[in-house]
Amino acid sequence: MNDTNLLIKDLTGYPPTWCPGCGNFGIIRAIRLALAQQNLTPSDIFVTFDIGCSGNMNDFLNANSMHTLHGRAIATAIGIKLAHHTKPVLVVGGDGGLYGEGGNHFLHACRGNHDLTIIVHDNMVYGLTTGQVAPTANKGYKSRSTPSGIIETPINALALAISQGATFVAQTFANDAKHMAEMITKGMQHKGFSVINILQPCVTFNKINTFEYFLKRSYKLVDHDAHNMHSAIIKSLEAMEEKFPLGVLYENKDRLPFHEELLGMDGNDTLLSSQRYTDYDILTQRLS
Amino acid sequence: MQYSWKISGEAGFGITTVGLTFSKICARHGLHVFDYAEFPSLIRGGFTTYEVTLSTSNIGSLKETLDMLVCLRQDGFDRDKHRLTPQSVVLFDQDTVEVEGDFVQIPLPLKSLRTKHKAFQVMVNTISLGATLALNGWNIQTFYSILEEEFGRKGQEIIDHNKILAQEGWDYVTDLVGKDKELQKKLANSIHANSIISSHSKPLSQKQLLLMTGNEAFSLASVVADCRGYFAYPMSPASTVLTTLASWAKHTKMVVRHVEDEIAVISEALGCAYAGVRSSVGTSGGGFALMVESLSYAGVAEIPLVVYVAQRPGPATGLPTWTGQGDLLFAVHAGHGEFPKIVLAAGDIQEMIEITTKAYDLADTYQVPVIVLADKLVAESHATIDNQWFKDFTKKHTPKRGKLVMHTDQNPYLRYKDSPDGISEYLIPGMQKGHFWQANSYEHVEDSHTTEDAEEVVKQVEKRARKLSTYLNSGDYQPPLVFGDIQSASIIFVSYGSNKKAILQAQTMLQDENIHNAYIHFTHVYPLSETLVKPLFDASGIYVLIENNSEGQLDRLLKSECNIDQITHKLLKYDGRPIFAHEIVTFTKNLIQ
Repeated sequence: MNDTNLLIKDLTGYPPTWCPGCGNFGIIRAIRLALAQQNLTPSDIFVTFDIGCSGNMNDFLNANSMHTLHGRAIATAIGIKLAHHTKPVLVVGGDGGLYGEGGNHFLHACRGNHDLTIIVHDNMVYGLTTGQVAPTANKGYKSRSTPSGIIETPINALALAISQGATFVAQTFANDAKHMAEMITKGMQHKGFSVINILQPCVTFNKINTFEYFLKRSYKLVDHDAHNMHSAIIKSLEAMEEKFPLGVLYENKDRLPFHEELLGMDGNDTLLSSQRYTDYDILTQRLS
Repeated sequence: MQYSWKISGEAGFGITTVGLTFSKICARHGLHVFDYAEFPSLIRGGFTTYEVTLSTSNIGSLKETLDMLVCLRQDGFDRDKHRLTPQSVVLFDQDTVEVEGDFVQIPLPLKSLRTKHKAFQVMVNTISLGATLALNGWNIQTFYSILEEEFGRKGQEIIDHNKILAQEGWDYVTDLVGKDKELQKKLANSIHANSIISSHSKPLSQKQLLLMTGNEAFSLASVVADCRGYFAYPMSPASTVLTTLASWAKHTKMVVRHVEDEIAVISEALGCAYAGVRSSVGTSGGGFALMVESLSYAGVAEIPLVVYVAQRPGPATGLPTWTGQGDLLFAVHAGHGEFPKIVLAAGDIQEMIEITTKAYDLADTYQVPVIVLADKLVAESHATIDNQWFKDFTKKHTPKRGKLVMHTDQNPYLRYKDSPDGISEYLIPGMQKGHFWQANSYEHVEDSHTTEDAEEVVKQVEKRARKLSTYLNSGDYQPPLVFGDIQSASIIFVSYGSNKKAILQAQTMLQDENIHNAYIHFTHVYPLSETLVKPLFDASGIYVLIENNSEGQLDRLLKSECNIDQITHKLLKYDGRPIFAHEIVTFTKNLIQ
């Protein structure tokens, strides 16, 4: 076995419990591959998992991790990054957890440009709770919770992320492990808030947005200027026509990540490793 | 002996600033201070009051009568005239306020003085405080020093303008009194007869007393405890923890985050705490309600976290700027599922510092969430503590992190390894190459992987529960403090939190009338040790519960946790106002007659 394969083995936990044919198998392969190619072992990284089929990856991917509450994976990851800014922090969750239940955290984490890599399993349906509509589902989608079709229009996570301050926004597809790994690696290398939206068919509960559906409607970006916010927004709006560009839609290298703008948080001295503060006289001066 | 001073006027016109300035002057003169502000939940147009109680020992609570009342508005007089005595001094704006009654009247032409100096409305306070100091027979230098400290950043011009106004108030009153023999005689029998004022006319050469709110005490103690991450969303009456710690962050390097909502607040704090950094959050009842699901996550994943809850009256938005103790049982029962937690409550500034530093130690030692319960009265009122006591306290304090380690000898490492005390070794993640674990919100096996296996579930449930018995049988758990002698007391008060000051005051007042009494004061409110608490309830006196809520929650807790049903009488107050010592005295006298 070469080094990459050894590392992949290190990163491999319990055997997955997903449905046969689930896009998650490809996604976990891509995550392990991206980590191994960057020479990262389980103790080098932090991952927060949301709740759902995607979040169940907690037992299948070895890492320092938190299997958080539903919707809270991003907010929790921010706390880890503040404590340990020298280590990469990934977030793994579904569209329901990260755009729905945790939508507020997503929005504000974009604004903060926290140095996290967000991997969203976007399958437009709730799997673990057996087939209710997701916030990314197309208008009219019929599900067990919306038998007459959903009235709301889908959240446009890419447009939202770009407009709210995320500095790396990419989209990829669950049947292309190599492309996914490439996007994840790029996202991790990027200093700032990276969103990687993975289009993923749910073979059990979503009979509309299938492999064939995504294959027909997705295409790889070529000659796209990812550093131009205007063209990135235009690309992100194609979702409204059910067209899905794959690749890096947007990248802004000019803005500092949150922790680098914090007072005193620079170099390798982390919040955890820094010296205890004991000069109380300075603080009590005004308390008299 | 106590002395009380109160100023009242329009909200938004600096009443709280001038009140705090008076508190500071008095503290620098060596007097013990306890202050209390009432204000509406709005920025302009309402009615604000600031009351300062002075004493020579640190047991001051609010006083029934007022020794000096400064009225800038008619309702300031109307609302408090029943608290005046013939010895009270009333300083009032003669241009806008009409007063009548048997007390010492000091009219001030505030409107014309303001016009003369082209001053803003808020500067009227400066004139009034100058006048107060003149009546006290104190010089104005301490006031000047504070003006320089407070307005330093605004420039010399502002400082000088305020000094002129302060001097104007001081001169006006000095002149008024100087040419009025009758007035001199009256003052000699009132304010000048009060030794608290007359014997503290000069500032001490060194600042021997610190003056701070409970929120500031929580903030300071958090720094002492080596808390490095504080997360909050502003909510009265806890907001000033956030602003205080934020203002100190340039020195302490603490990460102080104003996060988007309370759910994110506690989630970020849990991430930071999981990674090994001492962390806390602060809020009031409503914000705490939003955090409760995550509190349960801290419970199952055994993440140390300190949660500061400064109570205000609910339900819902309730009375945002007033005081109450309606969230005791909410704090105790917060969180779905069964998991251990510890609840502590602070009754005054010194207790807040002791309990807060301890809360961080307990969170680490037992790997549980620890709630520090306060209320508006202790959270926002300023009180003095001895600076030397604080220095000594910090010198001997070293954070105790229990079984949190940077390196483990276990291989494989079992984060949730079963143990006789219920507490497992906590390897700070990311510290040791080759070792990793998950803080799992699902039930898990010893190595932290998810499980649904019946035996493993029972093992973990019992392991976590065992931590509380370990705590109750350790030196960490403290039974209630007892003031007075329970066995000989005819009345035994039972309470917790900020009622402490009023009860201690009432105890002295009752003792002066030969009514023997005792007080059982809880600081470690949950869990409770029946073995240690119940024996305190076997005396023959009448047990009286004193609580700032309508349901008598502490009584319910004592019943359910310790099988105590000896409390026969309850003094409950739930109008948003604190309990006064004289109310306790009246209640007690009625009871024993």
